[in-house]
Amino acid sequence: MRTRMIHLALGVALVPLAAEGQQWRTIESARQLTNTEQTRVSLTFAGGKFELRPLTGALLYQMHLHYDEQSSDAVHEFDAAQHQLTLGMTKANVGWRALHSMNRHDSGNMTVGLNRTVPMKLELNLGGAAADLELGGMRVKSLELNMGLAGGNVRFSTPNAIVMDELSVDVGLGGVNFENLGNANVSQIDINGGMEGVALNFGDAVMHDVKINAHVAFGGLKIQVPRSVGVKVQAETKLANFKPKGFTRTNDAWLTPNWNESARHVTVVVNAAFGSLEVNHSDP
Amino acid sequence: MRAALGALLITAFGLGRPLGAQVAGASGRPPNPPTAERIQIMKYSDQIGWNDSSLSRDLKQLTDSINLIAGEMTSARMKGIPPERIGYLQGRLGALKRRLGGMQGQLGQLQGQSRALEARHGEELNEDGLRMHRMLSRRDLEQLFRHVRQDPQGIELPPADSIVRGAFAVTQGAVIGRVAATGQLDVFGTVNGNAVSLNGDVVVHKGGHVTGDALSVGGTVRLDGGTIDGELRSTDRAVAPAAAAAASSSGFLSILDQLQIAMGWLVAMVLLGFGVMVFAEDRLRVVAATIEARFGRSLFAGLLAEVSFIPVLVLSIVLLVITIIGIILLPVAIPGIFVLGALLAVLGFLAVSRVAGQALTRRAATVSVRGAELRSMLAGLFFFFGLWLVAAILSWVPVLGPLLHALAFVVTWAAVTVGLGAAVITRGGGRPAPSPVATPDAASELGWQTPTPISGIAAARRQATNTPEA
Repeated sequence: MRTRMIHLALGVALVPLAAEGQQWRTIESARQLTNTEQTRVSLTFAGGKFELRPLTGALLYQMHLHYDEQSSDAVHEFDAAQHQLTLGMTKANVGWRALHSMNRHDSGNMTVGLNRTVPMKLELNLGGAAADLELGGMRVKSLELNMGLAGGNVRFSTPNAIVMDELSVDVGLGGVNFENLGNANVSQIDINGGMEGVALNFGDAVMHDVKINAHVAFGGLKIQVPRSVGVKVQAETKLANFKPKGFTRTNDAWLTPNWNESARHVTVVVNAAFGSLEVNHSDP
Repeated sequence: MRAALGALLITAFGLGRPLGAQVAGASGRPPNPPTAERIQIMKYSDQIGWNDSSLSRDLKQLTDSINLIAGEMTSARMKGIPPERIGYLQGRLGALKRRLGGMQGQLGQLQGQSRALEARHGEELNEDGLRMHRMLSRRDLEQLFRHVRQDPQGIELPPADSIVRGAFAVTQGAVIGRVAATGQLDVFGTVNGNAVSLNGDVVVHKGGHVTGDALSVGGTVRLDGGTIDGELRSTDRAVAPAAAAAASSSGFLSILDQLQIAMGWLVAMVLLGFGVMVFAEDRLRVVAATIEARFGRSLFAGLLAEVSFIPVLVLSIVLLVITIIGIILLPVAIPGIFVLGALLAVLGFLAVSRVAGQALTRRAATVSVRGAELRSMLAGLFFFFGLWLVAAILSWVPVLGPLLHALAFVVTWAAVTVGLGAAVITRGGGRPAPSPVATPDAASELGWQTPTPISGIAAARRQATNTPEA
């Protein structure tokens, strides 16, 4: 009875403390489009859900941010002279506490819309946020995607309107799935893979010859390309599983039979440890 | 019929009482008796040319059209409905709808202008009038102004006496400086600076221009054909950083934060302690013995080491960069100094923990020397980090929390300083321990219990003899 009373007293004492420790806040920020100069966009978010969508209309960007003010600070800065847009949270605040707080309550969320007519260099630091990115129809000049714990999905539902110079993916514990990557119009992809692996699905068409440099561990790398595209794989594996079906060995590389005839080529240079490497043609 | 349809239309589109009264008057129905509020609104309408505006003409035409369609519908119901008449009526209705859309835009403009007049006159309307926002008390307003000014997500506000109480509209053609209102802010003209609405929306209408940022606290920022050069920002509320900091320091998450840090350090030191016990047990014993024998000297040496660390570091860098080999060694040497300092501090702190733990576990039963030493070290570590854990748990108590933190810091700092000094004096336990205390306490305590030394006696092989036993 006495112990029960002590527990009750502790509970009564701690509940208001717990409630006081949270200060959820919602901020909406936007800016009108004044020109279509190339803009460097940096988006940072700690935990919860993150969404990125193309934006039509007269706004450069539109952000909805719901966050715990006790564990993080919101950022919404635009340097018109440098064409630099910074949104989300300060990097210094993307710590365990922000992650813990915003994931635990499943309330932290950030939704960003970016104007599809402006060429953009995107840098996304997503900590432990589960990401859902739709980049189709935008003008993405480069994409640097740093994902921590949760991973996510990246889609190019419609073609990227300009050639993307580089796509860089750094994944921690989570995994990431790319859909219709052929629409990304990208020539170079760099991947540092995570625990749950990286999946690259090029969809039905590849707009540009692509070279993929990948360092993956544990989770592995899964690549799916259209049947019309020639594929070359240079793999260095350490305790990793790689069974190239339908490939022929030439010197130090594995080639698909259509390598010489294909109009589009995907070259995969991969260093895999412990995980698996899977490269195959998608069904027609 | 005509009046009823007009009134219905006015009600459906929320045009408000003054227009309803006007339509009723146009239909020949005697107007409602003029209350004080209606007189006030009519006064506003006079000032903005309400009766002479194209809106009243449009309303007249609109009610005529409604009357016409109503007549046609009645006739069609009596005579049957030919398809061509239905098409005609549908066309008329479509045209009516388009005109209504245009009238709504005009009404929005008129409402904004009437709000501006209302604000200018400093008069209040109740909820039946045009102002629909929640009224704030003077105290609420002062708190809101303070929070917005201090809020990192806020904005620079004009002086409090320049902030408009209630809704405000910047009329078409007007050019003003930064503006803030405690209700809806409609911009038809130009604002040179920021436009802020506290407890309301900011709406920038067609032709309106804000050269700075537009902020709404407790509402939204809307573009209705206007231009905002800066940021469109809205927050659900204003939060003063002081309040946030206070909540943070006393919050449950903050306690968890501190507990996790203290526990992390405890686990790390316990693991390091195991490592030292395995790989550098003798050094740990020497340092612990030095602490017991030469406490004052160890403290002095520790203070000296702490004070001279930065000068030594700078001197080392200078000495390294003046020689070519030194420059090559620089990337290794500088981190090496830090690592060496950290190792000495850890060794010293573990030794202090062991000495403190010996005092705490003096009465406990002893199994072996190493077991006693390990138990002493763990007890000491739990003692030092226990202070931090208690301080973390009670950090929300106003005075006691900071005091406990200070106590934990001072005790830990003293332990690290003494331990570091002893480690420096003994060159990391490499020198022999001072004579007064040559062996650990646990061993000396055990000494009386058995005539056999704790370390045991090496067994010697008996010499073989060929002589037969007698």
